[in-house]
Amino acid sequence: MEIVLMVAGICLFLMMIPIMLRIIIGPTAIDRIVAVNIIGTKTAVLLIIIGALFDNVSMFVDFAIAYAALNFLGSLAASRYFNRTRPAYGKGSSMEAKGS
Amino acid sequence: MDDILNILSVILIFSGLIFFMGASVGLIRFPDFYTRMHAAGKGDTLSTILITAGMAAQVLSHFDVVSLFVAIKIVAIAVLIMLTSPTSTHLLMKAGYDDGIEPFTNSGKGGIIELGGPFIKSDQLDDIDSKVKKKGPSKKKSSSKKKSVTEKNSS
Amino acid sequence: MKIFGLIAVLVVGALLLSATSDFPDWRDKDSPANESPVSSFYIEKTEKLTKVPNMVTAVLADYRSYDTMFETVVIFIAGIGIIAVLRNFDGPNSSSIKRENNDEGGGLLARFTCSLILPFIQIFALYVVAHGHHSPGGGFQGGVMLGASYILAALAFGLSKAKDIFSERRTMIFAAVGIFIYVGWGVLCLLFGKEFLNYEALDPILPGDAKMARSHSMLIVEIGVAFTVTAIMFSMYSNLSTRGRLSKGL
Repeated sequence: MEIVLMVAGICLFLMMIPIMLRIIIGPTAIDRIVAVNIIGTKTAVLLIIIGALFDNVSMFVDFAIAYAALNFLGSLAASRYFNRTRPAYGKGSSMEAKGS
Repeated sequence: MDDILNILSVILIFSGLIFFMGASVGLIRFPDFYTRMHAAGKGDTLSTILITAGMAAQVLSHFDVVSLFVAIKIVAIAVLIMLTSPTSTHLLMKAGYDDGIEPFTNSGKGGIIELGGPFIKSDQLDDIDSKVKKKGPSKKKSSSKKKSVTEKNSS
Repeated sequence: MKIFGLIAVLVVGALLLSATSDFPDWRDKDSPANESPVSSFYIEKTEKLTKVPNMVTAVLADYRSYDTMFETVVIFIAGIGIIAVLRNFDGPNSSSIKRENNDEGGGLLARFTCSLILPFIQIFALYVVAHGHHSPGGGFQGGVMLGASYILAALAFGLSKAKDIFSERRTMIFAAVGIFIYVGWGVLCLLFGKEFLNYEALDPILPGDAKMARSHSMLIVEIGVAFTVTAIMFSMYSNLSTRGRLSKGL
């Protein structure tokens, strides 16, 4: 069973590498934040797997809950921030389409 | 009983890994922001729930009181992520749409304006309108330019 | 310029990774940290003397409680410093602006999700504070979680709504009360005729024997730390995100 968990953890880590690549190359800032959000979620899962590998899940599960909760806080703050910086965009064509 | 739970946990963990591989490949391969959000939001949430459920079954396989509480906590993580991950995906998508990120089309155009434009609230319309008239047509191509213009305006 | 930053990051990362091979092994008896008599004293005697299984909490809140007390004071001073630098009393007063135009929050979905998960985050934060004796946790971590829950409320429901629950006056009172609990508990030990923060002196007023008194006192001290950290976290957020005006949220 340990081997299965080890393989699962290593697979999780390897699949995070493309997401890290998205953090580096991501064209917009929100792309990067989405990638960070996914890595945060998966880190919480990885913490549980690491806890099972160390035979101490009851300790690591607390970290995982805290990590998952704070991860949501980060993405919510980022979305609020980018919602505020609204572009004055497209010379009024969208405004005419929408009316007032 | 223990063997059943072990096998169940292995199946759940590896199906979760398959879904996460979908999310990972989609995030790196899809052409624009919106399709990437599609891959990210769905695959991430489902794979997290599956892997945490598998870990809960794994913990329960040697049953006692402590492992029961730990399993309840792991299920709580799954529920927490099931609630928060779609919400944060939705909010980030909305932020990107309001930010004016252009969707990908085959013809290369057909931007966000034709789709109805960013959701600009009606009380802010006059404010933005006057600024647009003062500035003239703003740059359309690069999003970083747009953002800098916006920050200047908003501050 | 970016490429130099990348090279610097790679070189430093490679150096740090190469240093990990010199680390002592997992559960190594002869690692340098185990050479001094102090660490073996903590490992062997902590549970016997204080009835606390988690020796990190025991060292933090009992053996080195002077250190933790002044750490709490440092956090308090940091919060006061941020208020002194950033707080802007000239801007429009938050009470004069209409509530609706103030800060609309993060939208319907964010509000609904936060109303579902906020109670659980707060309960978990209190659990982290109270369960610090048996699992990793304690006043600082639980305080950060509790402060983060108020920040989450401020992000989802708007800063004005969060300030109805946790106003500026209340944050500063809470921060001061936390330090008062900590220092007052030390002074209480003085009044019972032993040293400052020597919890064994409080045996007469706490249930259990002298060792349990140390365990209970740690809990009370951690609660004091949690008060201060929670209040200062929220105060820092509300000052930083509104440039000190406390009127318009992020």
